[in-house]
Amino acid sequence: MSSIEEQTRTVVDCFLADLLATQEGRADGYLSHLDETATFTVTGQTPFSGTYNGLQDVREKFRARAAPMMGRRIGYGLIPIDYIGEGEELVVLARGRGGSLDGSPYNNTYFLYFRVRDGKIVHYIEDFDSSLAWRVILQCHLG
Amino acid sequence: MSDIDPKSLIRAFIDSLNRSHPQDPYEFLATDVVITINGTTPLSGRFEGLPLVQKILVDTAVGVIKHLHVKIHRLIGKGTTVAALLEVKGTAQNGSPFNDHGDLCGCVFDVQGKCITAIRAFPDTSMIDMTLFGWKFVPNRTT
Repeated sequence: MSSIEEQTRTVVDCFLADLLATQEGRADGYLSHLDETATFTVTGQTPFSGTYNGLQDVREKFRARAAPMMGRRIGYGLIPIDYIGEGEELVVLARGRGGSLDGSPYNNTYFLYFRVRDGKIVHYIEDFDSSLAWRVILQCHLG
Repeated sequence: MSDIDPKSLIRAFIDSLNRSHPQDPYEFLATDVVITINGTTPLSGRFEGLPLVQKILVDTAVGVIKHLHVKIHRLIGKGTTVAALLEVKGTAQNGSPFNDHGDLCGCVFDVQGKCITAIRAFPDTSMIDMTLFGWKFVPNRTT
């Protein structure tokens, strides 16, 4: 593993650890690992889906909308199951345990793409089963 | 005979899906290939071996997809497991274009020798449910 790959892995591991703390309700600092100019994409067709340009956009448009709808509890969080990296890019496959505000289980599966530069995440893509988010987090059904 | 570079093999496979490569896409897949499509859509699941891939996954997909084009944006990885960021767009059988914005989705390929032995795809599941199968997400209850 090159020094760039080691740095990328370290930053991503810190992001994931802080995301876990957020999902458990212990902290809310995971966005501090994003560069001010980061591109942050959530895939799918949900109200949270889209590309957010810059940390301010992520905070004001993504987190402000999504965070109030997510349950927080010790034991919730993402567990990485595979890392595939090259240089400043790293893909993490992860399983998640979570819940809606009413406690319905929300256990999704994730493909997370990171590009890290100078110790900060400059590009992040969260790819997941967005239909599950519609059903559990947004409390909808297919009709 | 020497093995093919995994990324070159994946590029050729994608070209074959786009009908811009002389080989049939199935020729790139091991007979015991395992294809996993994330989510709970009618296209989702774990398809083990070419018969399941052809008879269930591909036949179901052909029923809802008229035209498909896949573009590789990134290939990441230095070994036999390669992560990809793909732009998958096309036209549904009902005539609706899908992903004309060019959103990216994740995919992971495992390669052995001259064959792809596993594909883990993370498509936009809410787009599959809504655009390809024509369903809508309806609130469970009104407030």
